[in-house]
Parts: sequence; structure tokens; C-alpha cells
Amino acid sequence: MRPWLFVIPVLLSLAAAQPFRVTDATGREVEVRSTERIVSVGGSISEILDKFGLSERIVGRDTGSYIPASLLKKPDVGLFFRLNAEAILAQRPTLVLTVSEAGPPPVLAQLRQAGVSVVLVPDEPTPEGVKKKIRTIGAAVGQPARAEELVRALERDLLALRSKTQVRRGEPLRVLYIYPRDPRNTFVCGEEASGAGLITLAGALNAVKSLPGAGAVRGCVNLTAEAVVAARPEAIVVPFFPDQPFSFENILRLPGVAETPAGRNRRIVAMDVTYISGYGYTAGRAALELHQALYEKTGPVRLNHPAFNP
Amino acid sequence: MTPDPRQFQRRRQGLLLALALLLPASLLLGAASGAYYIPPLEIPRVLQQGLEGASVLLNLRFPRVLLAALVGGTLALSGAVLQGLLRTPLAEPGLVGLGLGAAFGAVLWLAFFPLAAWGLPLAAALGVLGVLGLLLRLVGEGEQPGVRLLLMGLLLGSVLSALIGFLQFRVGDPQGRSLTFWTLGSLGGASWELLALTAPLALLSGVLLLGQSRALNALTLGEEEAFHLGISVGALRWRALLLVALGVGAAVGAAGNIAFVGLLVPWLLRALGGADHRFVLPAAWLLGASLTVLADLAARTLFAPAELPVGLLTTLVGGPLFLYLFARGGWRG
Amino acid sequence: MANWLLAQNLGFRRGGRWLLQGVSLALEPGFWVLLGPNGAGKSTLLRLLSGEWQPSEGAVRLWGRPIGEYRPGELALQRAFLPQQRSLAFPYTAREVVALGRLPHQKGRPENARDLERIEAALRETRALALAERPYFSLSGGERVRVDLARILAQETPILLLDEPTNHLDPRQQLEVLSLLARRARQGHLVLAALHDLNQAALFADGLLFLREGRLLAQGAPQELLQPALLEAVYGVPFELLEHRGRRLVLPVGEGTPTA
Repeated sequence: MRPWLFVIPVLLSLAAAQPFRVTDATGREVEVRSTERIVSVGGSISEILDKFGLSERIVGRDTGSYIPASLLKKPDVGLFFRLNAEAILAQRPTLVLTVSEAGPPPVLAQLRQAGVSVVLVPDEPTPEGVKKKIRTIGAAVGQPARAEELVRALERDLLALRSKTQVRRGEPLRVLYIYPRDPRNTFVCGEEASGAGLITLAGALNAVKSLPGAGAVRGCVNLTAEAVVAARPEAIVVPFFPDQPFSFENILRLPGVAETPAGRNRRIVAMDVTYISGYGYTAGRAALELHQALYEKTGPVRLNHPAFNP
Repeated sequence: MTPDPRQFQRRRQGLLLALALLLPASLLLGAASGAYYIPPLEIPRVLQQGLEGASVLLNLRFPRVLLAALVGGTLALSGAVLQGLLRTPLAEPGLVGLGLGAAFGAVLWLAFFPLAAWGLPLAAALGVLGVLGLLLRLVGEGEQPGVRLLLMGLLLGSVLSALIGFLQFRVGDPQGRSLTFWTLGSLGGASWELLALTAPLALLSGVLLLGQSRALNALTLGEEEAFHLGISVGALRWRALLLVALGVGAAVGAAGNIAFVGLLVPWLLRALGGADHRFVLPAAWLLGASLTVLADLAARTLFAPAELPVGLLTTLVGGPLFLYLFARGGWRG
Repeated sequence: MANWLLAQNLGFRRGGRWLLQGVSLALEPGFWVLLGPNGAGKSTLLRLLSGEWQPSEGAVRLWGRPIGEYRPGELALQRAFLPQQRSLAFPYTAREVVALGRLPHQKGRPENARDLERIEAALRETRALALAERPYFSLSGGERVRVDLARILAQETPILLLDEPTNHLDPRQQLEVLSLLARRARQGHLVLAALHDLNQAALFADGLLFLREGRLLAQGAPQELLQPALLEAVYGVPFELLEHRGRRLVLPVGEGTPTA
């Protein structure tokens, strides 16, 4: 037994106790004095924290954080855009990690005033954005090495995806991204929306990128039934929420869907909402799976999150 | 000095004829235009030969145009009957909380029986009936019943929309209809199935309500005098309120609230052709149907490919107009 | 001959108070005038006789049959009623208001030639023909009375019940209305009107009925009933009796009456 080995845990704990400094999505430099109690706002952040082995330290989560499943037992502090300062402070957090769109902004200011380190994690729906997200979280919790490991894993997935998308010949598939919220409306998103972004990454064409006589759809809109048909989608991609019932039939019944090639052939890919629009460490794998579902399968396909099988 | 009374009669007949022609014209216009472009003159050929686009026409556009007419006619007629019944031109299904009562009934139904869509119009009708009963009780007798009705209806409506929001928050809405769908209605969900679900109740209510025009004429003098003219006022009230509830329930259950149709259409008709319900009621159906078909046409083409809720359009147009009339005192008749 | 309109020990209670009690009377064709101070129960009695209100005790019989057994549609062919307060919810023309009087005869069919003729005749009778196409809302108080009266006449009923039909009328208009009602009575109608002017009532009526505090104090021919003693009992104020060209006239003379 070499006595100096005893020094290692001491040094490690000292390193962990050191305040970490991190630059968040707003360019603000945040000092993180302790990572003992974390409130995680954003499904993709929670799953990355889990990958870092920190899920035990999460003392509060937003409604959309359900991966790993053990999080469901932790206190829910609300939807990411409708946070409540008191509900968060009640968990006595030392660190709050949120996606950059979290809010409302006054709540975040209240948390900072209460002495909590608040880190807004960049959340751009691109592969580069995912890397930035992983590295920011790594820096905030003092695990830059684990972060680089995750980034490398992501790059491997993206490489596998590229080998598929670049080999494929022919016209890209026309895909309609529907966010299901109201059965009387076909709510459709253009390319920039996070969930729809994965369609392009997976090597398909967003069907509302250009519509005859109407141009592109920006953001998300209620698409009139006839425009759904005019978009001529060959496949439909929808997010599903694991805690809510989902049926392909309901998607087929949305205005206009039944009259499209996708509707007639029941070509619908339903994807776990965090998996498709979270842009977490699984983004590369998600795009790869979506690519396979779109180009190599037929009929309705359901894609669960690899770390969440209800 | 005395104008020929038949001249007035002829004017009404002329108006009715014009409205009867306006409806098919609006239906044709609505059927000929949409976000999926098909040259209007090509439509017969597209249908005959089953070309590309035929399914858009048959499965999307036609049922939608027909549903718009059905819902609009029903709402306008219900508005006119309600006004006659409550003896105030301020009664409007969407404005005095009836629409939200229907929405509440529908949301409640869906919370418990998410898959039994067939019960939706009836559940909505029950919601309307509940609100009507409560309103009549609250308004009671007293000064300016119209203004009291409007005020209490608005308050009741805001309570109901909060209740709907609460219900959706607690039980969730398995069909995911947003509060916005109920408050700013839309015909985007039109299909033959929805039309088949809506039409029997709406048409039954409409036909039977048209038969109440004489009794409503008598009621314009007041309940006592209607009795002295041989009307069983209690029975009339029940019958008419029940039919209005059925009609509004069916219409709102299918398309949400399309506000102000039921207010402005009867008002316009009274200004044009007088207040005789034998004229106002059928004319309201025709005009309400035509205007809603046209409003929906605007809702689905103005910002194509996106779609506006048609209720938003009718409120944008109808709300300010109503404010103007109200401020001018035109609502007194 | 059967009794036209009969009241037997009629009583009406509302809010724990008897508005009318122990009223018995039998009315036959003629012009009857109901008199009494405000709150004596005149309107209550009219509403009970019209079948609109159900008595708390006693009964009203029309043609010998309890009035409660009639359906509203049947009643509307027997009696017309002009209430004191009248309102209109929507902008009808005067002619349309009068046309409403024909509803009981139509039973769902459209207006026929006879309806139009009766409407025209009623408007002519109340001298309202010139007002026919004007919106009711644009008419003056006096003009409205003529139109409403025409509506009652267009209803073509043997019995006419009127609650203060001469309110808001100038002397000439009052005279016209009363003579019209008297004429109807001579043609075989039963006309019962609540009025305030004692002298006018005495001038036109075939019979007077005096109500006080819900009770029928007297019923009889005008010249017999126009007695200062009775009038003081009814109205609670002394009356002087004047004779003019063989006609009795009465004048209330209370404490505030200036002396000549």
C-alpha cells in the first residue's frame, strides 16, 4: 500500500470543491461554487447530466425532463418557459442549468439574486450547437474530459449518418413535420424549428420549404388543409410525448393528411420528443435512426429514445 | 302620404330572393378557391375525370364550405331567435357565454369519453342549456335586461373559459383542443363525418325554430301580451331555448365559437327589411350561412398556406362594428 | 242568456297580502268602467278576468266555463287585453303591430284578405291609418295608444279589457277613445276599462264598479253611484256634486282646494 495514494481522493475532492467558471449562452461568465444540488431545466440537459453520472445530484427538473426515468420521481418545477422561482428555490439548488429559451427572464434574475448560479446552456438545433451544449455543461459541472468523450461519441454517430446520406441517390424525400396539438388543426413547422431541423439533418426535405404559390413556411403555423395536400409530403414526422397517449390514427385524421401520399401510405414516423427536438448527445443517433426510418422502412414507425423505453 | 304596405312586403320578398341567390353564389365561390390551386373553370373536368386535386375538392373543400354554411346559418338563426326570446338585440350566442357553455360541455364530455365523438354536439347543447338557465335566473326582471344580459353573459363567459382552461390543466384534453379553438373557432377540421355529425341536430333545430316566428312576433310586445294573443309563453320559451341550445351546441361543437355572426346578421336584416320574424329568421339563416362561407374563404386563403381561425376574423370585423352600434345607441332598434 | 264574464268571490294574494278579495260580479255586453284609487286592485282584477293570473280563491267563468280551462289560443279569440304598460322590443311598423292582433285567427297560416281588411278597418277606426307605415318607435304617446287600440280591435273579440287606455292622451284624444269604446259596447261587445276620470266615466259608461283596497264597494249605473258619500268612502277625500244641464259632475275638495 503506497501511502501517497491517499492524497488522490483528497486532491479530487479539492478540485471538485473549487469554483468552476463557465461562459453561458448569453456570454455571461458564471461562477459555479458547488454542484451538490442541481436543478436541470431542459430534457437534453438532464440526459447529458445523467451521462456525466450526476443524475443523483439533480434535486429538481422541468416537466420535459424524463430521461433517465428516475428523474420522474424528482420534484417538477414546471414547464421550461413558465418557471416559478419559489418552486426552484424550494429545492435549495446550488446550480440551475437551463436551456437558453427558459424563462420568463425575471424568474432567472430572481434566482441569481437569491445567490444561485444560473447557467443558460446554448441550445442551437445543429450538430455544432449540440457540441457547444455538451461542453458548456461539462464546464459548469467541472467535467470537461467527460464532455469531450461525449462529443467524440456524437461525432462518430454523425459520421455514420453522413456515410448513409452521402451514398444515397435520388431526390430527397418530402417530409412534413407536424407538431400535434389540436385535432382540428395541422400545425406544421418549417426548417428552423428544432424538431423539424432533424429532418434536414437526416437527409430529407422539409415539405413546406417551398410551397407552390406560397413560398416557405417560417416557424410553425396552422397549415390549411389544402396546403397540406399541396405540400405533397411522402412521409410525416411527429414528436410524441411518452407520458401522453399517442395514436397514428389521430395523425391520419388531421385536416388534409389523409389526402397526401404520406397519409395514403401511412408513412408516419413518430419520435420521442426529447429524441427528435432535444438536440442532446443523442442527436446524431436520432438523425441516423430517422434517416433509416424514412428511407429503409415502410408504414408507421415509432422511435423511442435509446435511454427511455417506457 | 300612406305608402303601399305591399311595397314593404315586396321589398322583403326581394331581399329574401337576393339572399337565396347569395348563398349558392358564396358556396360556388368558396368551392372554387383555396390554397390548393385548381383553375375554377377546370373544376368540373377535374371532378369528372378524377384528376389530381379531385380528392382535395371532394374531401376537403366541399365539406368545409358546406359546414361553414351550416354553422353560420345556425348561429345567425339562433342569435335572432335568442334576441326575440329575450327581447333584446344584444343577445349573441358567442357573446353571452353560450358558445363557451357549449365548449365547456364538449370539453367535459371529452374528458370522460375521449373517443365518443358522437356525443359531442349533445354535450355541447347541454352546456348551452346550463348557461342559458343560469343566465335567465341571474338576469331576472329589472331595468335594461339587455345590458344586464350582456354584462352577466360576458362575466359568465370569462368564468367558463377559465373553467375550460382549468379542466384542460387538470384532466388534460385527450383530444388536445386548445382553449383558442373554442374561443376563436375554426372550420379547419371540416370533413364529411363532422358534417354528418353536425347537420342532423343543426338542421332539425333550424327547421323547428323557423316555425316559431309568429310566436316570437307576439313576444316582441312582452310576455303578458303574447299570452293575451294566444301564445303559451312558457312552452314557447322552453321549446325555443331547447332548440337554440341544440343548434348552438351542434355548431360550436363542430367549429368552436364564431362570434358576432349571430349578432350582426339579425341586426343588419332588421335595418334592411324590418323586424318581422317571418322575414328575419329565414333571412338570418341565409345571410349567416353566406357570410360565414365567405369569412372562412378569407380565413383559409388570406394568409395561405397558413390558416387564420375564422372566429378571429369575425371578431375583428364584428367587434368594432358592434361597439360602434352600441355607442350610437343603434342597438335600441 | 249565459253569463258572459262572471267572477265568484274572487281573491288574489301575493307576497302574503291580499291584493283583491271577495269580489263577485257578473258582466254582460255594455261599457263598464272600473274606478278606484291607485292600488285599489283595478289592474289585478283585469288580469284575473283576462285569465292571465290565476285567482288565489274563487273563480272566473267565461261563458259559464272556468277560465283556467281555456287554452291561451281559445282565450285570445274571446277577449283582448290592453295593458297599462306597453313595450316593443324591435322596430316594427305600426301596421305590423296591429297585424299581431290577428295572430289568434291565423293559427300558422299566412295573412289572408280578411286579415288585411280587419287590420285596415281597425286602423281606420282608431284614426291611425296615416300612421300605418311609420315605425312604432317614432310615434308619440297618443299615437301609440291609437295603434295599440287598433291592435286590440283587430283581434275581433267579443270582450275587450283595457287598463287605463286614456293615459297620456290629451282631452280630445281621450274623448275619441271613450266614444269608440262606447260605440263598441253598443254594437254588442263587453268593454271593461279601468279609468281615473270620474266625470268622463259617468258620461260614457253603462255601469261603474268601485274598488277600494281590493274590495268591490259598489256596482251600478253612473247616475246612481256618483254620490259624494260613496266617492269619499272610495277615495278618502270629500267630493262636491255639481249639476250642469241635467248632468251630475263631481269635484274632489280636499284641504288644499283653494276656495273661490
